[in-house]
Amino acid sequence: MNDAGPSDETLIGRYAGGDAEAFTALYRRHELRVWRYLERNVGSRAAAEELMQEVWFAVARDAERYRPTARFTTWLFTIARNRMLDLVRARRPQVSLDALGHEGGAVIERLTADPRAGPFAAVEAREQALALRRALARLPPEQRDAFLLQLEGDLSVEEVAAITRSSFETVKSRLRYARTRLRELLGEYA
Amino acid sequence: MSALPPRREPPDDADEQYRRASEHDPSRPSEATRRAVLSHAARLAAERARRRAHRPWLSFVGVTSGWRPALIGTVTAAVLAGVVIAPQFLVRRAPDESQLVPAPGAAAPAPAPAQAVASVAAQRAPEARTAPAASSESARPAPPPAILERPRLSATANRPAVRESVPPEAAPAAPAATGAPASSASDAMTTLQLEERAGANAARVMAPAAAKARSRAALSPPSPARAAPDALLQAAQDGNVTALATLLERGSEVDARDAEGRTALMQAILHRQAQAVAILLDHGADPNAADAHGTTPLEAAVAGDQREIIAALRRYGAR
Repeated sequence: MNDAGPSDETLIGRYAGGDAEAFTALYRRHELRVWRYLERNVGSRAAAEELMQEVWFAVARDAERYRPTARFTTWLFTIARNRMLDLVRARRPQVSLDALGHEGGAVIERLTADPRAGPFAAVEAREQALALRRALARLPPEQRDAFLLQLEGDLSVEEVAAITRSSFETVKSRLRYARTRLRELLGEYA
Repeated sequence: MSALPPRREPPDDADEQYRRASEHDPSRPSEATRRAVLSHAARLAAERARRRAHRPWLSFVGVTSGWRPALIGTVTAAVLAGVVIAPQFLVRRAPDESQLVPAPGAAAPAPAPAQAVASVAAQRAPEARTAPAASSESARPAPPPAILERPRLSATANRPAVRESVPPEAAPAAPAATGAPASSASDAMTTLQLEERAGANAARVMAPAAAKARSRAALSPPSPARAAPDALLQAAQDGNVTALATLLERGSEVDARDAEGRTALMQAILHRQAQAVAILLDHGADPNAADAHGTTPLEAAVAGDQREIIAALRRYGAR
């Protein structure tokens, strides 16, 4: 997943030693993936913004404790998932992963209104992005979580199992169900 | 979590559909979030760089790398050996006055590392226990005063290093585990007894050095490293945010503790100083540093129903 340049592990080590630029590089490299994981799981832009800050604050704070026994992305997405679960617990019963709203529709409408794009391209892009959000919102939370961890975190089944503290077989079946359901749902919207 | 490279699954058309649709999703975190994250990270980096500049030995011994556990283990073992085994060894020899006075003209042996002293003590202690009656000058050589003093010095000299290198969550348990206070007291007693019983030669040798040290201590102002923790704790209690920020920027230890094991963060919470809490957390205060009674900052804030502080603590990972 890394761009050309130092590995994630090298960068976090350099940041732990006081190199702020290393953190900036790390953040730029993983910003979008973490954002998508959080926002698509919680379905709320405001909650995702809050979580995004918490996750990266935690990375910055705990950089000195990071040990390269696991990949940096595994550590990063473990933090992201834990923060997300903390948020859900803290806001219970008002909020749950499913009830967070999946407000993506309005956001997409606003964000894809790019005046530079042609009218057809803009509509098509908006439809695809909306379809994806709706499809993800209809997945059971565990399946969505496992799928997003694997796709956005670029993690193996073993790594997803370790992060979610589930067995290898459980994660594998969650991923299989998630993919089957997504295929159906995205087919419907296509 | 395995360090092995992840096993790749065969590509799936659902994954492809997901990726294609993702490309059209323009959603991004806001610029404000990005700025907040990067500026926070830069502040912490500057703080770390400054801390390293103040304590270059941190990088010299590779404390931030994977050496830390080994270093902690070695230092802790040496300190434990020094404070537990050596005093017993010394106390047994204390009554024998004739052996305490160094031979006239005998030079003090070269200083050895604490581990070496501890291992010598460990080797000699069983001998003394198993064959006390057979003791002779060759079996029980008279340790000169310099050696008798050394375990106490090595123990106190090593203690701060252990505190720095132990992770915050492990720090409160360290003094209890090493039993350091009790051993220090017994060391002090031993030293006093030895000084009383030592001959005039030893007293003459020691007196000028001790007097010089006392006068140096009396003349020199308290060092910032010693004075800062109290000042920081006081500033946290008072909610004096200017003083807090100044102290922290001057390198005051953010997680320094008072006699009750309370950090400045805990003091700020107990005195309902939300701004002080925010500043301390922003400067890297450990949000989970429990006091000597095991009360965590979050528990204290919840007990006081301090919602703003609870939210701040959670943001920084308090459990």
